[in-house]
Amino acid sequence: MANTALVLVAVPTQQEIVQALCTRTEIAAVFNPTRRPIADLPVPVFADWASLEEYATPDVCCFLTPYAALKKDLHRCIDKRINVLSAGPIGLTLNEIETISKTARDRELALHFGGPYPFSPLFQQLKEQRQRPEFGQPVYLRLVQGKGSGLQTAWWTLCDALNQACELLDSELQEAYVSAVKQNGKYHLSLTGATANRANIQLTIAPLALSLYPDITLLGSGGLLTNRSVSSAPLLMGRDGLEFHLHPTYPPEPAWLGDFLNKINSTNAPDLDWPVLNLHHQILRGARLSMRQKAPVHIKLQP
Amino acid sequence: MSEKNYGILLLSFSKHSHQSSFVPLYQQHPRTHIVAVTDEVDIEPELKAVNKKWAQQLDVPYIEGVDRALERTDVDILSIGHEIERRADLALRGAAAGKHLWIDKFIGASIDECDAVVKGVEAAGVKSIIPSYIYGELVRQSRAVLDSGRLGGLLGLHADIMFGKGWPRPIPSPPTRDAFLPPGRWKFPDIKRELLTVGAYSAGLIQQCLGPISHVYGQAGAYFFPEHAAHRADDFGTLTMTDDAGRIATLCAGRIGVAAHAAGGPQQTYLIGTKGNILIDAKSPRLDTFLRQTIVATNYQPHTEDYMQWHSGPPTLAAPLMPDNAGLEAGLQEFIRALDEDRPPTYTVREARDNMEILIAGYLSVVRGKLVELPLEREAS
Repeated sequence: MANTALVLVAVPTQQEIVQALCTRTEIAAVFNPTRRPIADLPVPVFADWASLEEYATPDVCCFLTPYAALKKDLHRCIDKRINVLSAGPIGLTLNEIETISKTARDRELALHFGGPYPFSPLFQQLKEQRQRPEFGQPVYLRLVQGKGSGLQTAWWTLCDALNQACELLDSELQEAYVSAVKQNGKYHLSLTGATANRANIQLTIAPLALSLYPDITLLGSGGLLTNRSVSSAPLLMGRDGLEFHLHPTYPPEPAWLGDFLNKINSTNAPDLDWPVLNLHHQILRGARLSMRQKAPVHIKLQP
Repeated sequence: MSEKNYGILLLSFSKHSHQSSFVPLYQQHPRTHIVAVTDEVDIEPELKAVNKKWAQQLDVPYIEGVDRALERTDVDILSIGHEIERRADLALRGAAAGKHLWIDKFIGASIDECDAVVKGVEAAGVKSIIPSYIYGELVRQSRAVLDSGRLGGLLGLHADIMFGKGWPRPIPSPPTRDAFLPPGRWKFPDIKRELLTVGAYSAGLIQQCLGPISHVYGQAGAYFFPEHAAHRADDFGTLTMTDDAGRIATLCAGRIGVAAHAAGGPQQTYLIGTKGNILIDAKSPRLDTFLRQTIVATNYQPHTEDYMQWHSGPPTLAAPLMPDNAGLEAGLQEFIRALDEDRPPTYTVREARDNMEILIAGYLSVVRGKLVELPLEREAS
């Protein structure tokens, strides 16, 4: 797979991330599942798969966003022998995932669900600081982020945040409640959890697409690690107001995608993490139930 | 006609109260004056000595026996700074004597006590204010942005308030969640329960921004202080709740030890709306202060007589620019206006009772390990 043809699936709010990916990796085309255009990209953008496949023959598809037809398009990728990297979970049952992953295995295709956070400088720095003896025992983690207003986007962001939290706390989730509320088509999700090492988690997903870093507060018995994305971002003050800019080398997606490509090339494709996929599935169900019940919903975790 | 000047009776300087912080407010306000200090007859000798010292310092009489002090006709306002276990009874006696009530944080130790205070105060027709929760920067700024409509509809509120106080030490064998001390016993000589003590501020904010709370889930334990662990009590905790419209609120609250934050501990909230989000920091605007000699020579060790720093703060690297960050001055102004206009202040014993119910529900949730619905069933309180 030396000359991999790579396709990205992205929405207009991810323009900066797509640009960063195009700068660092050879991207054949972008599939935009929305009706709104993505501006200023150095690669062709398509709104339907047929046109895209006339232009290029992809062998890797990277889903950067959830959307209504994602499930169908995932099947299409596997049918067409395209490796899949998805930044978040797909709304499939475990049986459906098992079926599709078996098909992928039989066809020697890589299929991976999981976001780019391990390659984020903020995450890496937090992990490094958290491992210092001075940090002590982890006590509490608050993460606040927003990537879009829809339920699927909020769910992806929440799952990604939870993966980060568990990794930063270096422990398994033992208890979890998910809360969700919707108003005017905007979804707000929150997850409260406790890990096996007695730390508490509060994750807050806002219905606003911010390309800035998440805000993370990580409290240990020895002190506090905390960042504010807004204060860390370059700030442009102009006649039209303030603009926050993403640091040009911050987006972790290029390194994440590069890592996936390396693993495919070395035939060391990542395995699916079934307990995590199941948890993500439960979270989505819990969020829907929470909206109906107007109350936090307990997530049953696998022992 | 000249405006009335209100006489204030200071009821106790218990070490767990903020009475000493109220004194300068009463002294500086042009319409209040302190007339005496009082306390019960059966208090500990140490507290009696502190009370007497304050009376001497303020050049007012110290009156042993609260009922005797309440007979004074020059007392208009009773400023209650006693232990939480005594507050309900004192508030009821003050109200029955026709005195208006300024109460430091909690109005009772249980929901039954709080209910009795609400009933007694409203029946007596006196005014009451609990000044600590909603008159400060956090609520002021939050309400201003919500009232502006810029956030659209509010979907959620997420507050982190932590006090960077006390000197944490390793806890050899922390208590398990199963062993958590149930609600009801709120303090010991060496500790206060911090989810209650600190969480009450965020609960006040939540009350001012969301509708009535219908569900609460709590997590708590001891992470920083062996003293809390020994009592199986909380030095840190979190609550997650929804209001009657399903809107979400979360909070974390605790005493996390000195030198963990430039401004003495985070006091902030995220407001999540349909049109936007905002992060409000109660300690901003502030001036960062990096003075070499101050930093390198700082002695972070808390005073031996105030080990948990209930009455002192740690050295910080920031100076707040807003003079009334905690809002006590604004609270007093509101109280005086309410008395003048013969109307209840915004935050009375009724709201304080609901605040306490949220917190007790949180504690019950920790003990039971599951979600708790409000209103609480009677036996639960």
